[in-house]
Amino acid sequence: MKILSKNHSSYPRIGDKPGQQKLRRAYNQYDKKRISLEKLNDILDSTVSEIIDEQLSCGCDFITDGMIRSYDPVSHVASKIKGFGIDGLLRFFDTNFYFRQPVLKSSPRYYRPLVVDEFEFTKARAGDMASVVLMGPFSLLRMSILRPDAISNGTFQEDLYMLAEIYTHELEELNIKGAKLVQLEEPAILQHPDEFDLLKSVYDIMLKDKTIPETLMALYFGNVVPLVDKLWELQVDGVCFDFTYSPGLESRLNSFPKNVGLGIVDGRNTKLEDIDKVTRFAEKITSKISSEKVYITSSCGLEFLPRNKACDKLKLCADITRALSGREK
Amino acid sequence: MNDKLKKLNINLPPLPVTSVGSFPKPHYLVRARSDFGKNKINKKRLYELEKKATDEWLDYQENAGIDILVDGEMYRGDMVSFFAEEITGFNKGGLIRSYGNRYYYKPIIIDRVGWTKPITVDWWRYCQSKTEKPVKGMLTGPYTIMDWSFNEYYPDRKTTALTLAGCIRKEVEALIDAGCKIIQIDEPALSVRPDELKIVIETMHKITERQDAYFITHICYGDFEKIYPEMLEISVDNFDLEMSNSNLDMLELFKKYPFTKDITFGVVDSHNHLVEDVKLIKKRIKQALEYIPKEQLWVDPDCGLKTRTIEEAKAKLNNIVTAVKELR
Repeated sequence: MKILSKNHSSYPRIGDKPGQQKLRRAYNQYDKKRISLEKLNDILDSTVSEIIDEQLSCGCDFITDGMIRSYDPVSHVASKIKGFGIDGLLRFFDTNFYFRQPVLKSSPRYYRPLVVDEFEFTKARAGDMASVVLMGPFSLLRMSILRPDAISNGTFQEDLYMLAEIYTHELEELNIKGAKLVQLEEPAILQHPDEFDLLKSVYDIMLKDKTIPETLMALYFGNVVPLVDKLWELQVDGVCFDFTYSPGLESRLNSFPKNVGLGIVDGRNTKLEDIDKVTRFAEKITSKISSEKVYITSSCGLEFLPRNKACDKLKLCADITRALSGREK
Repeated sequence: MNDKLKKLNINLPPLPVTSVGSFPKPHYLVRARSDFGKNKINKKRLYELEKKATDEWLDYQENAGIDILVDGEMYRGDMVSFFAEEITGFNKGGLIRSYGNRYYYKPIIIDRVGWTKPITVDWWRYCQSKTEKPVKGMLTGPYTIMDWSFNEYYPDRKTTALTLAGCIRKEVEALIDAGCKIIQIDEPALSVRPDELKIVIETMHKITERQDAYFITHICYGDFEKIYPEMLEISVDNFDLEMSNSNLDMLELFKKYPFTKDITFGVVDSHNHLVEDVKLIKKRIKQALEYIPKEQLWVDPDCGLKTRTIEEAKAKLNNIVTAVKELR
C-alpha cells in the first residue's frame, strides 16, 4: 500500500499578510477598469504559482491549482458548457460561501475545455504532482436550476447523460495533456442518496474507455455511511471521504477495494488535530482496507480556512503521511 | 396590525418598508477604516466618520419615506466578527472568502464566551434620538455566530449556540432597557442545516422569552423547503426573508402551508447591480399579497445592501418606496 499526501482541492487565494492580498486588489482594480484583463490574468498566474509553491513546501505529494481561477466551483464549470446561464447566489451546502447558481436553459453541449488550460499551467510548474479537480456532472446539475420540463419529462436524466459526454471528452483531453490524477467532486449525491444508481450509470458511461490513469470521486459535507457499500461498484479508481460528517465510517471500510482519500484533517475548523491521535486513527483504517493507494488529505477543500491555518493543515497531512509510511522528512 | 405592535405603541402604515440592516459605506469611511487598520488615524477620528456616515443614511431613509429605520452598520465590518470582537472568548481569525472577491474575518472561539457590556445600545440610542420613526435594534443570532466562527473550545455546536444565546439575551435586555421596541436577530445560517432547526428554536426561545419587544429574524440564501413550515416555531413575530433572488419560489410553499406570522418580504435582489424597476417590484408585492394578508406584509430588499454602490442601494430602496406607495 502506497501512502501519499494530497491537497484535497481548493486553497485560500489570499492571506492576512499584505503580500498575500494582491489577487483581491487586482480584482478590485479590474472591476474599476484600472487594470486590463491581461494584467489581471498575469496576477492570477503568479498567484497560482505561489499557491503551488506553498503546497509543495508543505510537503504534499499531490497538489492542485487551489481552484484559484474560479469564481466558485459550480459556475466555473457551467459557464464553459453551452446551454447554461448563470443566476443568483446560493449558499454552497452548509458553508458561509456562496456560488452563482447555473440555470440550464437547453440541452448541455460541448463548447470549450473546462479545466484543461488551467491544468496545463499547473503541470508546467508541478509536473506529475499536479492533480485536477472538477465539480462532477451529477453535482453540477443537481446544484443548477433545471429546465422547466426536467422533472415532468425526465430531461434531468437525459441532460445528465449529455453532460457525461462532455466530461468524457474533457477527461480525454486531460489525458492527452498528461493528467495522472483527476478528482471529480460529487458532494450532492450525499443529499440525494436515492439517485445513486443514476450517478453510477453516468460514471459507467464517462469512464467506460477510461484513459486517465487515476480518477477519484470526492464526497463531502454529508454522511457517506449509508452509501459506502455501493461505492464498491463505481467505475472510479478511488473515493475521497469526509470523516467529519460520517461518524463510524472507519468501521465500514473493511476490505474497501479502491484507492482511498482519508479526509481525516478537518478542513472546516482551525483547530489543529493532535498528530498522534489522528495518525493512530489512520493506521486503524489502513490496516483494514485493501487499497493500493491511500491519500492523507483534509475533509474538504481548504478554502474555508485562513491561509496560515490551511498551510498548517497541509503540513499536518504530510506529517501523518510520513509517520504512516516511515518516510523521512 | 400585529397586536404586539399595538401594545408597544408602534404605529406603522400598511406594507411597512424597512431594510435588512447594512448599507454601503461611503468612500471616505472605507478609506478611514483602512487607515485605522494601519494606525494612520485614531479611534476618535474613525468614530466621527462613522457617525457622519450614519447620519447621512438616517437622513436618506427619513427623506426617502422608509418606515422602520436601520443604522446602516457603518461601524461594523462583518455581521459576525463585529459581535465576536465584543464578546469575550473569541480571537479575530483570518480572512475567508464569502463569494467572488468578497472576504470576511472569521473569528475563532478559543475560550468560554461571555457578554460583559452593551454592544449595540449606544449606536441604537444615538440613531433613535435622530428620528421619530422606529429604529430597529440589530443583532446577529447565536446560531449564526456559532456556525460562522471556528470553534476550538466548546465540545459541540449546540452547547456553543446556547452559551452564545445567553450573551445575545443580555444584549436584547440592554436594548429594551434603552427603549428599543423592534429587535431583529439575524440567523442567515439557519436555512442550510435543517437537522439543527431545533437548536435555533431553542436559542431564540432562550433570547426572546418574556422580553417586551417585537422580534424579527432575517434568514437568507438557503433551502427553505427543508425547514418550512417548522421554522414558524421560532419565537419571533416577523420573518425577514430573501425572496427575489430565488424567484419567489417560496410562495409555492405558502400555498401548501399558510405563513402564520408577519413577513418582511425581499422584493429586490441585494447582490445584483441591476436596479429593479417599480413595475417589477409592484408585481412581486402583488404576488406576495396572493398568499400573505396585507396586515402581515412588510417589504424590504432581500438582504443587506452593503455590497451595492450607494447609488444602487438608494435606487433600489427608492423604487421599493414608490412601489409600496402606489399599492397602499
